[in-house]
Amino acid sequence: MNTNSLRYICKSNTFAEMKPTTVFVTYNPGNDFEQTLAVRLHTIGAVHGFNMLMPDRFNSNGKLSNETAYRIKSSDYFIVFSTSALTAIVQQEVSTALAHLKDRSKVLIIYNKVKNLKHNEKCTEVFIDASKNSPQQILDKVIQEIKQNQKGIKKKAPAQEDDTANVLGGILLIGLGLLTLDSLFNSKK
Amino acid sequence: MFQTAVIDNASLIYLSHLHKSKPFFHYLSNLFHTIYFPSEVVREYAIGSAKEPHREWILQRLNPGQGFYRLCTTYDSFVMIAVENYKGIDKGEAETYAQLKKVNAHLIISDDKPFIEALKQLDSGIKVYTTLHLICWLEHTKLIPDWSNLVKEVHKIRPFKSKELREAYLQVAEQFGLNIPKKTVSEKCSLTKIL
Repeated sequence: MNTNSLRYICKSNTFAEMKPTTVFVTYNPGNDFEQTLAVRLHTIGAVHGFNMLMPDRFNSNGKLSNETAYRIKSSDYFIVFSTSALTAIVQQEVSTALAHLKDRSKVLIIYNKVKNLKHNEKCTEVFIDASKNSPQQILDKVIQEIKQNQKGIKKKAPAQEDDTANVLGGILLIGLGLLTLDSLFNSKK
Repeated sequence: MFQTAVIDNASLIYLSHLHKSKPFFHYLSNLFHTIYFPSEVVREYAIGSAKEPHREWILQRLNPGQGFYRLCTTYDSFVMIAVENYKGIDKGEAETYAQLKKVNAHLIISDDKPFIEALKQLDSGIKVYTTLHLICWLEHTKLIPDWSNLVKEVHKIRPFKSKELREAYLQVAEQFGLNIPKKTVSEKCSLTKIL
């Protein structure tokens, strides 16, 4: 991890006593890789002072539970690292997040090696190939995309734009690192 | 708020045994920001270090007030008085509970059954993880390379039944809201298959 990445993490957690940023991380059910990535992000995020939330699918993978909806509504950001088109349940979660956050820059879908999807203009979608670019390069692209989407929102102060990038930077970089590791591992198979 | 835990003597002894063959304490730094070690727990643990020199590893790394392995020296005296004579709770465990309350830690790591039972009655909201929960958590994050070997190793130092492992596995899965197929749970937790 380079100094920029650390800066992102430190900036977001320097004032640990302040209300922690709440990040909801989700995954497509049945996709073990995405699930593990989400659990790792949840764990690592919590270690670094974020309030991390995941969907409650303990009893069912099929429908959006009240608990999941509640968790999404308690979140400041919604993130999914996806290696396939979004399943119906994740799409429902995205809709709930958009209705709650009302800010497309805070609803982030990062697709790894996924093509030919109908673009969802209501959230921030970033298409990447973790096997071709470094996590830092991809992070820059993602942050750029977030800032681009923030420009469309009225009354957003410049400081707020930086804040989103800084807060999310650490978590995103960890997720991107894990995606890259998986790509490297798969390419060696 | 950072993810933190307070550890009890029995679990500390088990984890030290695991740390002999693989860097188990390092794995814990992926799960927690800080682990608190109450001074009475450390005192009890250190008594055995003459017979088990590997215990020195963690003792040398304890720091009061800072670092990942954090030695606790101050407690909420009111909480201590309230729990010190509670049935099933010894002095080290009383400090463990008092420390949890003081630093507002997320959970207690303990394998002591009477203590866990006493905590359920004393304060039902407290989350207690055993060594089994920790290895299950590491398995859900895929941070450990060889699940079966680790289960075997834990079983050698702390015998348990499949049911106990299964419960721990599912409790951790529930913490993350994971829906794990029954077949997977059975494969992961069947001691007949693993041992």
